[in-house]
Amino acid sequence: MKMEGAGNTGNAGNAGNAGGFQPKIVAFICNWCTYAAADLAGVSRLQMPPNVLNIRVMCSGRINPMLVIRAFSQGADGVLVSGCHMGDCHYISGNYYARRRLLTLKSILSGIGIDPERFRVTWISAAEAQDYQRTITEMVENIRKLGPLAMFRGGPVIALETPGCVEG
Amino acid sequence: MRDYRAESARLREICAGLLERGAVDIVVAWTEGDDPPRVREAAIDKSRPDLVRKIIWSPFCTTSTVTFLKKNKAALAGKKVGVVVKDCDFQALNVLLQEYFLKRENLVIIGARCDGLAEADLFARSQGEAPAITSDAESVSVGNETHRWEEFGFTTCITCSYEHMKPDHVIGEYGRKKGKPEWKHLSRILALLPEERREHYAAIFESCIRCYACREVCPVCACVECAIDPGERAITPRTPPADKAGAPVWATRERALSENAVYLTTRAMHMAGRCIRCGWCERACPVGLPLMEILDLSNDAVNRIYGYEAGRDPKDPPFLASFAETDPDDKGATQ
Repeated sequence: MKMEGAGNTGNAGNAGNAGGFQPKIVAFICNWCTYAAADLAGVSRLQMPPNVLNIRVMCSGRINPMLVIRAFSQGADGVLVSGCHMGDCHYISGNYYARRRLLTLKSILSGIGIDPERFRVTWISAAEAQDYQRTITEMVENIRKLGPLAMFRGGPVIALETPGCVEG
Repeated sequence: MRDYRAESARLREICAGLLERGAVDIVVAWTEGDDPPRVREAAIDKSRPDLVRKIIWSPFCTTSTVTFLKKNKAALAGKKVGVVVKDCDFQALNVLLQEYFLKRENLVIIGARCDGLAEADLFARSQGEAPAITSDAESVSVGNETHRWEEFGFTTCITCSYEHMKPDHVIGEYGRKKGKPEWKHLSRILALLPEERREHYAAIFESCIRCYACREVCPVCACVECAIDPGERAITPRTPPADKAGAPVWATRERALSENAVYLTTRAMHMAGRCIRCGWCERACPVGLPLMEILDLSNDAVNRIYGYEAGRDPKDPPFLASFAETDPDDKGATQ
């Protein structure tokens, strides 16, 4: 998988505001639409927070739900998956598959108490740079309020106690 | 009133007939255990008429013959297999057929209509001759001992609503009204605040010891190689370094909250449209984790948002490998 920053989104997590909580957001974006939108947003000098790591993929249908879970467990505070509008998929139906899978994942994640704001699935076309800017800005602001994600973090579970060593 | 002695006799007749006619090479069925009313599964071929005589069907046939098929796929390959299934096994079989894990033309399905399963532990173990097993709408009896259905703790059976079984041969008649699919425990959890839910599930995740018993016992968890625990991957001295390094590590083996959460949420995701709610993972869990509470999050979404029921028909497309243009965009996905 190719990782690169698109437009002027800069390096994730290295933003200013030292001291305050800076959410890390991983965005899986489709090469044919949202990536172009992010590019356009950069070229148009739309202002948005630099907390996002954009990962370009060839289609939102390529997103294995495990990639999202893994992103969370590797330190992302939020994950965005964004692809083409329904009917516009470069590969005809990739985003239809993605929609079913990712929204099922969303119910599971929100069910176990992870705020729905932390995982967003959006459809942004190549022309909708402002939609991209708005989505990113909203996500960063909302997640900044929510704080770091603890569920998928944390060291080893407390070691098992040896039975038969009770004092007294 | 159902008399399982009579039904077992009918089942033996069918199995013996199939083996004799050469319609099947092997019959996978439950046989009488050493300490009735317990049972055990067996694969029986023509050379074992003694085992054919021990074939049994009762509410104590709790184990899944489909798990048996899954585990012994290699040994049974290329053989014509007769398999005795109850309702939930039939659903599991449909899921495996949908995914081309098994071939329908290699199977002869003998369906036993099931009223629910019962815990053999509650009854005294009998010595010598197997006692008569009967059941009615309220209770199960072995010899003189009777216990009510509700006592058995097989909650999934109480709420089982499946009655679409279309096997090649069928035995028994339903003696109890099928329930409605219930999501009681789930609605209790979803009524909690997100932070409380997070705590609830973190406690479950934290206690998991990652023994993978839930995966092993699951009749539909049938991937050749598990993404989370790729134990099946053969690494030999000849394996190229690129192959070893290229294998994705989704979750490490560390017994940490983060890794356990990855395992259990991935499992819930993977089970979407596959889970038949048989409850075996919960029963197999050595820590006693309420695993259905995690799986039901995806089951509920699949059912409520997409109206999909796992294993209803072998011709249904697999849930995650299909889509409809009318799938909702975000409706109800957040709880």
